[in-house]
Amino acid sequence: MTGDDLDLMCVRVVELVTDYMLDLLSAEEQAAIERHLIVCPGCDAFFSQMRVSVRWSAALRGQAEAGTPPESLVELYRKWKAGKPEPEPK
Amino acid sequence: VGGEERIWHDDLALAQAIAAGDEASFVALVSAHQNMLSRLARRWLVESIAEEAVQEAWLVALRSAGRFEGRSSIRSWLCGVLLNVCRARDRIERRTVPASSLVDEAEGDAEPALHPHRFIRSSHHWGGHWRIPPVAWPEPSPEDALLNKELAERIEAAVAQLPPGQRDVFLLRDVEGLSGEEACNVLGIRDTHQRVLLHRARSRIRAALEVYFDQAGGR
Repeated sequence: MTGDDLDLMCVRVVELVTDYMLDLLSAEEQAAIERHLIVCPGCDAFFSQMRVSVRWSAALRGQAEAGTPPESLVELYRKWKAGKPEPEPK
Repeated sequence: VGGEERIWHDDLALAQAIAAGDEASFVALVSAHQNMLSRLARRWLVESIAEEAVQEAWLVALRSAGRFEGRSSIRSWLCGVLLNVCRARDRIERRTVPASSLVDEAEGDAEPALHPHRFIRSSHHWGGHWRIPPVAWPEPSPEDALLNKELAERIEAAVAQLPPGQRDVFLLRDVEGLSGEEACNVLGIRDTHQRVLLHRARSRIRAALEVYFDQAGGR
């Protein structure tokens, strides 16, 4: 690490991973992290894990099946439009 | 807040068309967002009342579509409508949705991404560096159905364990793909708070997967 990065300990780097991934850091902070990742296999593996974890999390979107069939909502819309917004009592 | 306010013109036009009685616009909105609302309702409520809540949210949305001003995206507006419906129902059924984001203000404070024992103590010359570094995970192929199913189950279980504020930010952002601005609109929280909650949530999900891979590596 360069002298500029002396305070960029691993324990601090892992707290910046989300802001780094969301591109919310300053150019200086981003560059410091990238310099750190080159020389620190532990943090590099950690960042890689976070990326993989976020990618798998997004896959949950595809897990659930469709909810209420759109037909019932179209019916809801027509009733609302006709001035009868309340669903039929069961 | 303050300064120029962004207006979501396309979403505003859509809401106005729906309010004016254009069924095709409503069908388009439902097709785009019904699955998202359904997934969220099942996280926020017990399964048996989740679909009712979604139906109710659509009715509330219909009734207020004419008042939508385009100050947020229509999908974040819909999420907000659903969240309010779920909160109202939750007071009756069971408490899973925080009634106020104030409850979550302390969430994540002083919660490190990793347990301190993973790092060398600060008194040491190498303090703050890894003592127990993580190892890179294998990249499962999308075709590895069993592994992908197990991972999804692990993530689901970890999501269920998240504190409510972290869970909601995580679901909206990492699962449903909303932007930070949209998530803040839905949950009524500040961006700095939203970022902390997302970081804590992601850290916990990663930690759960690390346990899974440690176990899988050992068998």
